[in-house]
Amino acid sequence: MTFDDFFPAALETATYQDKLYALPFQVEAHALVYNKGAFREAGLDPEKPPQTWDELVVAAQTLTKTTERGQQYGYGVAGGGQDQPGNTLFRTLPLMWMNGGGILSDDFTKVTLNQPESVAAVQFYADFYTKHAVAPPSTLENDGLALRRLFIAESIAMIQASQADFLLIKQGNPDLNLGVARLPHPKDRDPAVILGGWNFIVPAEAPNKAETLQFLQFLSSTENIAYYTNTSPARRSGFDQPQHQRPDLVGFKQMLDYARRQPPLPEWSQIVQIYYDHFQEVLLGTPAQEAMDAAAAEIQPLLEQ
Amino acid sequence: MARPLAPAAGNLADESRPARRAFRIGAGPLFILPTMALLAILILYPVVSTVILSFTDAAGRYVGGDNYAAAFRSSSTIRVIFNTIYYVAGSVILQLVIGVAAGILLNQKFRGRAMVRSLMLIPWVIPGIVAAMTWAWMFHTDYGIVNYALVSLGIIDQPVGWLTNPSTVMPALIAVNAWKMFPFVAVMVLAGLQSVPEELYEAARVDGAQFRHEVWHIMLPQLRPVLVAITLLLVIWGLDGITIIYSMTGGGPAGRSMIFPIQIYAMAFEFFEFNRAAALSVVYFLLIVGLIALYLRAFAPQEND
Repeated sequence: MTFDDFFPAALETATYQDKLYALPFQVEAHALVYNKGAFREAGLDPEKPPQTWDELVVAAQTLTKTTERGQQYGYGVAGGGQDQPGNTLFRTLPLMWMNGGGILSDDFTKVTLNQPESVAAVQFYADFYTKHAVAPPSTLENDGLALRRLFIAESIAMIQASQADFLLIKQGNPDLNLGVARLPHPKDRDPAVILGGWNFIVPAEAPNKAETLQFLQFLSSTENIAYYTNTSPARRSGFDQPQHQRPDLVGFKQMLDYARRQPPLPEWSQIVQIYYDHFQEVLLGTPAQEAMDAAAAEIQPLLEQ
Repeated sequence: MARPLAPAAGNLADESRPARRAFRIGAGPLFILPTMALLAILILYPVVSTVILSFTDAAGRYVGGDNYAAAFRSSSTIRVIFNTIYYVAGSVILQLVIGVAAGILLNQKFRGRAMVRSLMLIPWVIPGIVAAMTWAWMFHTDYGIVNYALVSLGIIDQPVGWLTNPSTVMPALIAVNAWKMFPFVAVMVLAGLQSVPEELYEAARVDGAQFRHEVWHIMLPQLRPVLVAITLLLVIWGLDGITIIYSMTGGGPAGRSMIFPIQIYAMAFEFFEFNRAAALSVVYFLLIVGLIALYLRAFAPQEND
């Protein structure tokens, strides 16, 4: 079986020390979801969503205003809530990547969280709340779910969201005219996003291994992988199937080309928690450099264990 | 443990009289052996295995005090200890003050007393998780009824982020914990007051005692043993209770409401660092044992009293 057709990032999530351990099946990536009606009301072109960071800030500022429904905020920032630290990671690590930074170096031996590129990305995200005040006052209580609800209630005009969020928003408020766009990136750079989804793994000691592998072979055909995923198939050719041709979901599909995996480290969840705690410090007013320096000092010993 | 003893008992029955007498003396302890065995399995084994875990690494190798050193190196440990003491002390004091006041009040004769007595139990009866989620919504920055009421009444101008502002998060959580447990204190106080002999009040009234004199010189001294016992219970429940904080803030913002039990939980079941979690548990265990020993020494009725 060849894997040329699979998304490279999906294969990376299944690879550990150069060996492939799993069959990627379903993939997904976040995109920018925005309320076209709110764009029109604010005098913005709903067919021209913000593409760069600067445009995102301007759009968020223009969209932050009092409407007849109440206070509307431009951009949703995930700064707290139950579903953490994952929700904040999925919305900030891509910003660091886009800017040429990250939490760890490519070989996972050094912390790059307090390098200028990463710090600028963290500050950029926190500024929506602390400096520009275009994110709701409840930002430190909002996870991805809360942001989706606020978007449905038309209290926030733009959020970073998944395809699942998008479909739930449509269900929650069918009157909204939704737009999906690539995540805004720094000028002259590419967007980036964390790859989500899941893979099939057959444990080495599983009974009926041969039959299971045969079954997986069957499942991974272009037709089947397309049919049985409810977000996106891990194979590019799966998109040729009719159910993956919906024009309103194209934005999510485009983001898959920019998707990267999270570092495959046993300490990763702990690293993310440390980062998240210090990110909240930034939302509470600590300068990003200071907070990320402190986070880096806590993370580095974990890499040297 | 009980199994090998059965044949031993059978052997003894066949032997000479003196041995039989020895067996009879030993019969008492023999009957509690199943219970002791059960306790050993449920209490002794976990304690011992936690201690062993705390001195080994993930592969089971002995690493000395490394896990303890790592726990104390972490900058968050001091804050966590401080938060835990703050939370428990604040909660217990508030629970006692409100509970004793409510108990004394409900001991007075007034119309609808039975109704008020039962209604007061509601916070205690509601499942902790339900209460915590309800309060989390009531304290919500944008949509909470607490901010709505205070802003409407003109007490505050701007909504307060009760659970996201570092200076209000602990008092808010303590208030919820006090609200949850004060009915227990009130019920115990009420029960304690029933056993105060009426003659004491009569004698005091003859001497011209007012209500406040009765509270100070009769009720509180008579309640002393009850209060000593329930304070101990409240301290223990406070130290091992995670429901309210875990579900309301998860320890946030930025660790400002993180307490020891949640830290241990996260270390073990979110970061899968079982050995470090074990080290933290042992430290916490010793801390609690120390606290309770001090408390009992200071307040428990002495044998020679």
